[in-house]
Amino acid sequence: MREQKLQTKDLIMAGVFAVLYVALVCIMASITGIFIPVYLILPLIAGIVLGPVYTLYITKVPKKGAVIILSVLAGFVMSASSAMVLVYVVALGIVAQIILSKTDYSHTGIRVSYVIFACATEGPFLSLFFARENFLNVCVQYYGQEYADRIDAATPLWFFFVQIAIALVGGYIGGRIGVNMNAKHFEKAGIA
Amino acid sequence: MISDISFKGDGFIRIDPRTKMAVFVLCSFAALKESRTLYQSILFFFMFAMLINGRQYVFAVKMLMVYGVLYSLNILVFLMEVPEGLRIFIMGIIVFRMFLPVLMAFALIIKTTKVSELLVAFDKMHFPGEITIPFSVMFRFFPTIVEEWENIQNAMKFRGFALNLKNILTRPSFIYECTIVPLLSDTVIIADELSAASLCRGLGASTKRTSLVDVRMRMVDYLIIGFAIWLNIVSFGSY
Repeated sequence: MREQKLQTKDLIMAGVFAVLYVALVCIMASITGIFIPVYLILPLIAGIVLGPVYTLYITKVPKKGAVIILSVLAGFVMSASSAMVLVYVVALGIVAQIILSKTDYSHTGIRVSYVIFACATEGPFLSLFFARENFLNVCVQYYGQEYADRIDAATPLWFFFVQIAIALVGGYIGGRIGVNMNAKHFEKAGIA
Repeated sequence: MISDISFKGDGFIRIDPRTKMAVFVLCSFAALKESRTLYQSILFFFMFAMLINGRQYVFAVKMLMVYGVLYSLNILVFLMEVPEGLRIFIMGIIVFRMFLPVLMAFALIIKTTKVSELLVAFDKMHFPGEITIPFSVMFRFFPTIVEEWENIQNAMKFRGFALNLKNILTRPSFIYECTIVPLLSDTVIIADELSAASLCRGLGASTKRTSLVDVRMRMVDYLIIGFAIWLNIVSFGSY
């Protein structure tokens, strides 16, 4: 398959899917935020839930730059705490795009690239490890001192690697579900 | 030659979309700092005036009422002895009051900006279409997605598998499928309809688009941005 340039209808598709992506992340973050242990494994849950979103998006827009646009938009919204998040998410998007282009948007390619892109939901947690003071101050403002103390106690630095690992696992499961769901529902319905 | 065109829903004074975005960013900066109540109030009434100017009367009055309630709670805390547990709760409410202007600025962008205006403004800032078109779609379609989400939840409730904690814990994969499949189908259909509509408006054309709406930065815009910056500066460091 030869890669084509993005057209207006692809860009609109990108915008709508970015809304869906960001809205789902926000909903999950606000629901899980109530229980700290669940909140800290958000990358796993988000990886699984967002898998079909990503897969369907790539199936609809298999063109150069599609993932990068999604990553720029998602990163822009998630970077409320610091600009570092935007750089991180866009870097992941570029890597995922390169994998997709090399593998010709095959099922395996989509799944491998999603394992990488699933780490994007780690973004909001980056400042928890690399700008700790700042993150805890925001926590104090939103949820109060006690909550911030509990977050502080629950997350030593090595927990960062645990989160990355569970994000990768989430990406693997999510990609698998996404590809299966495409075959089960969307191709039959003529959407994908 | 048509020099300028106005619509029924336009504000009394037309404000450039870029100004609205600048105000939103500046409001977020102001909200992150713990500034004095005086500046918070000035910021709130500034945003209130902007909403009134955009003819968002109902929303503006609602916000005013919320602000009034939160403000009186604040005074109550200072006047009376409040138990410790309740005090933390009320402090949370006060933080929420700091974020009201941000909420209002966001509503101002969403409710009073037309997509065409936004696109012209982006075009004048020389952003590439690859970023501005998805971005404009995103801004406009948050409400639509929320609406679809509510409809899906209602449909699920109707069939006896509502999206609640019990169902999520007992049969997660089933609930997950029932939520995400209609959501994705809706999204794709909305996107298709939208691209058909935008093709009619010539968004796919390779030439530069013209616009009947006169979008440019006027004196008022500079004054508003200047005021917002000034408010940020004076409230800075005055705890």
